[in-house]
Amino acid sequence: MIETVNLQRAYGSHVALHGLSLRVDPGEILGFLGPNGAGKSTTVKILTGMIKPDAGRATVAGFDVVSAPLEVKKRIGYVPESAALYESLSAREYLDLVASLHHLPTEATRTRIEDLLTRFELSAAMDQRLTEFSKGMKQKVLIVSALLHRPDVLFLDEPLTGLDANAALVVKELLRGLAAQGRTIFFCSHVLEVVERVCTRIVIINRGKVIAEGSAAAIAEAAGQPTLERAFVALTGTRDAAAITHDLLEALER
Amino acid sequence: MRAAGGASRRGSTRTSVSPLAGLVFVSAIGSLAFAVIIAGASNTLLSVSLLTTYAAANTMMLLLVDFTGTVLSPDDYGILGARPVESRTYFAARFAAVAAYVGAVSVTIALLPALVLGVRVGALAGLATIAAVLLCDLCIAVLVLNLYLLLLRWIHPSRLQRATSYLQLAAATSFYLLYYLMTRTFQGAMLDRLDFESSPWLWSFPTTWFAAFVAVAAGSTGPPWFAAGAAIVMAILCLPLVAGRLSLDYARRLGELTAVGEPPRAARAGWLPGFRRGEARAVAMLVRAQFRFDQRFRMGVLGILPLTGFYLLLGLDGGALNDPFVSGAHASGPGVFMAVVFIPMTLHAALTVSESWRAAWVFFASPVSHARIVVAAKNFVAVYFLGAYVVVLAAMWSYFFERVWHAVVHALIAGLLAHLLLQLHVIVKPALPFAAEPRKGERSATLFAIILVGSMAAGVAPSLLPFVYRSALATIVVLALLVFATAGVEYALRLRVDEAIGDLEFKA
Repeated sequence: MIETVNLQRAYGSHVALHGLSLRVDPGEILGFLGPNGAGKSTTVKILTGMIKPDAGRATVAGFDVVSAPLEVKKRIGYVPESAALYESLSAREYLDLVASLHHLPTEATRTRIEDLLTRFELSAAMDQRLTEFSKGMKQKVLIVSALLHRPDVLFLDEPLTGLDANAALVVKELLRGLAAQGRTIFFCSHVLEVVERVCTRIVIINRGKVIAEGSAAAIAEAAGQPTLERAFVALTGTRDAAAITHDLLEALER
Repeated sequence: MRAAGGASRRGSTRTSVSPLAGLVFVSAIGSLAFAVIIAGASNTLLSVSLLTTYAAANTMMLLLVDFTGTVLSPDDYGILGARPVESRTYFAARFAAVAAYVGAVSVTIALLPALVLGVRVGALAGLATIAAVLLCDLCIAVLVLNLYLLLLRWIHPSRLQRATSYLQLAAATSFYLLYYLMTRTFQGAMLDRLDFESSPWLWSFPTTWFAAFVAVAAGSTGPPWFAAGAAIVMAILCLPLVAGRLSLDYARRLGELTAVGEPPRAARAGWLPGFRRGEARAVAMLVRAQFRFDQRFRMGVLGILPLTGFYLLLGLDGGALNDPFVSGAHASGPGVFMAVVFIPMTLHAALTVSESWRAAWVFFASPVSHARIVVAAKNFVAVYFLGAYVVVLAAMWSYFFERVWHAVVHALIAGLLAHLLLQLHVIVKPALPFAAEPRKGERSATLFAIILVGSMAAGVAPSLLPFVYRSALATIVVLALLVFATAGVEYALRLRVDEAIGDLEFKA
């Protein structure tokens, strides 16, 4: 379970989070949406213990992220948007490194790593250095690394980036399966169609505050729009998309 | 200036000067050294030819080591390939960039010697010094560029980059060796006493041809005129050489080669003893892989070797190979202690930065104590780098010392002292491995602190040796003191590191 109460964080004079409060229950897949710079990454970084909030409270899996960050980190899996890996390592070595950082037993983990990589169709490449991997292959390694220690809570920031349609389908089904097991999934993405299809509930934030919450249909209805996409634009866009497009086309003609 | 990424404390910003400013600063130090040499030498041609040779070697290494960053980038074609940019335009832009880069470094190196010669010989000689260094460096840049692009026909860029790094290592070794030999040679004879000018071999070096500009400006007649003429002809011939090479087509070729990737090298099996579990295992695995495949880190480690050799050579004069148990105060000058003291600290500094720093998020999202990671990295350096180094020292000393155990005890004391300083370095600047963004020309107060503390320790240690080795009891007491100090500092280190980096945040 994830809960934040009045979460605040600033970078110098820029306020990234402005009293963010939300709650995600076990078994839920929460779609966390927002325009660029809305505070999504800051929220995820606070919840994963990578940065600390200035004020407010956040608990993950029952532990406070500030006072018990290690307890939180034991119970979470994280797929960052950046997909940065130590590419001098092979896929197997990288996962071994992650397993070591989670203090998992070596022998059992070795089998699990091979098993998971095989199921993600990386068995032939598991001893290749990550520098040889395509973006999609690296993304699969990241997803495996997030699942390796069987976390209760998953934070996924654009997890489908670079994956082909088949792999993306597998991941989406996997997320539903994990949620059905009672795990909590925090899903950040800019691809609204995917969020709409995968997530059981959606939270939209803008300028560090929650501005909408509920199912895709409920958000659209509350915003008086026919679709989630339209509702998102209406809630977060400064101007109408049609008007911006018109201006762009006109600028190109000048 | 901009803040660097990676692991950092809340609210803190790691700032760094621009790469060119860093280079200019280093060049200015070289300029000062040569100004002193030229001021003290009466043989102008010889001293200026040393200057042009140094500047040419410096330019060559700069371009070779950072070729893709400075001269031709594999990313260029990806950015410009789909745009209507002519190869000629590309050449002009790239050549201007290289010329500005080389020009800034060359002029900085030449500036102070030019001032000295301007005052001593005349304004024309001063200007000729700048022209000589600048033209010589531009010619070298063109030749290096051609050589590199020629080699790219057969060698993958990654391999070539690796090879040039080793070349840099060899050049550094030669430089230190040359410096040592020169200082020994000039101990008894000043530069101006050597009659190189009358030796015909001096004219066989193209860098002397450029130095002849100064001799001509000073009013010399005869050979300097021919040499200066040859230098100008060489410079004119170099221009068409570069025109065909520095092209967008070559950038495309470089981009294609880089995209294909180097043939994979197998991962290494087996584990390092003492680092089998948890954070220690993770750190050991990462450091080993980075050493194999991260060129920057590997060169950071291997770059210690020529410096070590240099210190050892310096130590020879101070009695580095004399048995301290026998020869007392006259044994083991500061040179060898410098080597032992600097190695672990420099290695630890190299361990903290990496081009892959963005991947350090994994240390922040995992349930690990950052302090344990830092300590594991320190221990890895201590065991596998410092430990290996101390064993080599002990083996070497055991050949020269009267008794093997003398060598073992001496190496043990040196090793414990070095480890103590490594611990202090980690206390002063605790940092996660490969988690900071590398920045060229980064201000490094730490480096100066390392040099200061290291020099003090290395300077004091030899004078204490007679007391340490006076009796078996004294040696045992010192060893025990060092062991206790190590244990005490280790305890303090764990407390301090936990406190110091407990609030580290990850900036990407």
